[in-house]
Amino acid sequence: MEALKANFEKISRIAHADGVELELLLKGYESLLLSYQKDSLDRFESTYNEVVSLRLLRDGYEAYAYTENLSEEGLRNAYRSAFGSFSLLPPESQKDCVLPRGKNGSPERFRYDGEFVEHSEAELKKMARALANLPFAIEARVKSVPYNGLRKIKVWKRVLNSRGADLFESDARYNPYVYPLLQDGEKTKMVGETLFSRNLEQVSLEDLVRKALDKTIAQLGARQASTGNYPIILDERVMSEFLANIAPYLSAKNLAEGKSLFSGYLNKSLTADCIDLFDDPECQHGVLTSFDDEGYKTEKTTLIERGILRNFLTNSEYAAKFKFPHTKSAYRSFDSTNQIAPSNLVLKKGDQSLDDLLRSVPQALYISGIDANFATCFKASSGDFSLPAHGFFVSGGSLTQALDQFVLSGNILNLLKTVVSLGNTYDKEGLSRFIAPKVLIESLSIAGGK
Amino acid sequence: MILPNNLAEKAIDALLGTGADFAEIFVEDSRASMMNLESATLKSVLTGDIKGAGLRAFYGTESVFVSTSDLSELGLLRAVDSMKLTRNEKAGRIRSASPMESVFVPKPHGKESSYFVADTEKMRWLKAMDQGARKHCSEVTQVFARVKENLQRVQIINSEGLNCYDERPYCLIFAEVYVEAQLGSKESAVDNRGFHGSGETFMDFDFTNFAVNISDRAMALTKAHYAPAGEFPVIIENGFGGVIFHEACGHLLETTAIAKNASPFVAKINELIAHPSVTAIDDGTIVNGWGSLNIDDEGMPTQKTVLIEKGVLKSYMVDHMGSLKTGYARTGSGRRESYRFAAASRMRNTFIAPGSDKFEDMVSSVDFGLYAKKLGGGSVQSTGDFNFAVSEGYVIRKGRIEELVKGASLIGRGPEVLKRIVKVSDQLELKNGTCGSVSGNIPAAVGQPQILVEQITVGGRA
Repeated sequence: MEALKANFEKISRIAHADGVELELLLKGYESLLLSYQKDSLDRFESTYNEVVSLRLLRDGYEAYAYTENLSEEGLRNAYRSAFGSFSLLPPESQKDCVLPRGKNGSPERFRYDGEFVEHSEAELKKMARALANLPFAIEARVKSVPYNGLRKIKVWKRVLNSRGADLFESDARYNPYVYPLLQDGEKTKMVGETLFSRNLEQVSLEDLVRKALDKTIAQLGARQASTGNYPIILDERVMSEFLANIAPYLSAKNLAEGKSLFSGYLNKSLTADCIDLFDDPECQHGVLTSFDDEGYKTEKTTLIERGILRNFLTNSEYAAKFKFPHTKSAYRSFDSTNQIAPSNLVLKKGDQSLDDLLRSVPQALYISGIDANFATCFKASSGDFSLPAHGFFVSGGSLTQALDQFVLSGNILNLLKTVVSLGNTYDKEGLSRFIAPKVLIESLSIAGGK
Repeated sequence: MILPNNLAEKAIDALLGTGADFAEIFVEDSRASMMNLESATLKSVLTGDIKGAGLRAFYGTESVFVSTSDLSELGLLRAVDSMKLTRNEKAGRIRSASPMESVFVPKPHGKESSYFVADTEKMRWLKAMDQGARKHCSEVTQVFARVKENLQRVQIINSEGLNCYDERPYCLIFAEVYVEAQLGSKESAVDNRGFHGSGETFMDFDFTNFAVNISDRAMALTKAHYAPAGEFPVIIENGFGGVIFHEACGHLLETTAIAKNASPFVAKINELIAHPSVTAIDDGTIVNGWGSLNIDDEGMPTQKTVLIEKGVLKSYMVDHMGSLKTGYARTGSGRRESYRFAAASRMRNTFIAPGSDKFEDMVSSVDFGLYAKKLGGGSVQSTGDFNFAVSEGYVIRKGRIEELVKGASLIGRGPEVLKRIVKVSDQLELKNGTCGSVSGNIPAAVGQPQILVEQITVGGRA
């Protein structure tokens, strides 16, 4: 790490001479994946990579380059490559970005609360083997367990800039997952379960396997859904996928580019009034985000309050452009330019238990999973979605019948306006920047067959 | 070459020293460049490089994989050391590597040997797309255009004496057009084109017309109704319509799924699995094909593989480990996104071969159904359940194509749908796409002629 800083400072001196302000964003990822097929080690994959993205600012122009070569030579080559693109940029591309100042060059380190418990490789292999074999031991109808494994993940991020900022954060989790494939007669079904934890001693792998099996067994008896319009209850993880696709509408960058369907709604009623939506970097159910990708310390922001849109998310450029509050929401991957994204987008819980939600409607559909990549079934420009999904029919206050893959269709703006009530729990075992309770929607379209 | 011979030999010997039966190093040195235009202005230019190695060792049918971005002798041997720890309980006989053979010479791509197009030329392309859309249609509110070039240089060395090198240039253009109709209805349409070859392949490309077509589609969608819901006959367009085969069948024919008994097509070789009108091919040899290769990511020369012939399953797509596990011969199908991934059996350019039916006859044969003209991506599960999105379709009534509709997903089970493809036209087209799976995101092309599926679930609006 200190070699990186030393190399950065050498390149910063070159940048200073060129009249350039320099920002270095490093994102690191380390992963160990262990996966068995019965007792045979199917996958042992160890990956370690760090990529540096340089952003150069000069006279309002912005240029980028990335590299995995963190040596002085590697950084210098990346700097020169980015510098060369200044000559291509027209005056209209100028922007108003401001880099944060550091604490006199002193590094600031952030980490999660709690303890990441290290397990030996032998212990991890034993657990991974159990994930592959337990399904067969518990349930006779298991045909195979095609996707299963235990992943140990470490991520870290560092921002350095020519104003002395030096921020670092890291996090680590284990991710066991299991997807058993069951066959009963002609019917085959596969529904998986996954969780994230910093301490596998607090995790019961058998419980994880049993949950996956229970979900899959429930689907073995699934019937085709009848096409029609129904009240819909979205499971926590399903609603969090909706939130992930709503998030871009909250970006001031997308607002400026004409891509946000929330345009024109600031301080106006946008959603049902039971909705409160926040960007909360400290949400315990979310992902550690102490500073954004420009190096600004993150903070909680109210986005929607009782259905009224209160704020858009901004980075330094768009806060200045719109004269909006700067919400410290800069985001970029190593091969992208400066974007805007939430830290943790949180839909505030309501007070309805699952039973309350089920009993509140004479009939409904409970959506327990989406069977597609959401983005391919969603049209951001209009908000229309058409999502393959599975779930249960609800009647008389309970889940009565599993339903085969059907298509859930609607419009995301309309969905937000027609939220009836909210559940009182979050998914505690997933890991997402999009945190939502169960949600009851007035009505959506279901296409199942005839 | 990226890795000198002596270093490659040391690393291979070290891998075999862990008790491996087979050892492989995949070395990559890639460079990418991207230009983005929006609001009629060149907004950003981004360049970058990726360099590293993926080391893999086989122990029977078990494999261990480690990646590193440190290509020094110390870095490579450190990576090997980390693999040794996993093999404590199974240290076997130490094998020796075969002597390295001569270097593979890559076939040249496109018209030029220098792969990156001049920046001024790329800017001209971007402006042509932007201005093409805006001048054609006054309702255009935004145009996003992108040119992305990538040169992937790879070297594959293994303990069987292979030491080969390849250069893979890719060039992709992308445009998305947003419109707002007079009554405030907002829509967008998107398209892209890609070639495995230098950007010179685009020199005769009509960027203006490309953008005009996208803006026309976006405007048409502002007047479109929602697609109906139910089970109907569906005619699926050629080109990217091939995603139906890619999702309904393609992934389930990869030994990645077959070896785990996670496909409904296990043990079905030489059985009738599709309608006799269906012949399907996975072909890595198509010149400038988006999914084409000279050699796969395990160093095997690419092939044309007939997967299904007149409805009968003839072959799977087989990588090295897949071959060891299933006993089927390799088909040059080992692919990976980058050195950070172990190779797995994947598709290349996968398509349904042309038939003899006429598109007009297909349409006239449908009493009520859907013509799925523009498709989005999709996915498939090991059960064979698949889905893909229809972004633009037309209702067919009494043998005629009628109103434009939008917003539907088609769902079904691969083995059932394959048997319901009852007509295949004679107009084959291929389109580029990105396929994601266990070994990362890779360029892969899909294709087909127009096909008629006699019944499929259309997930429109009730």
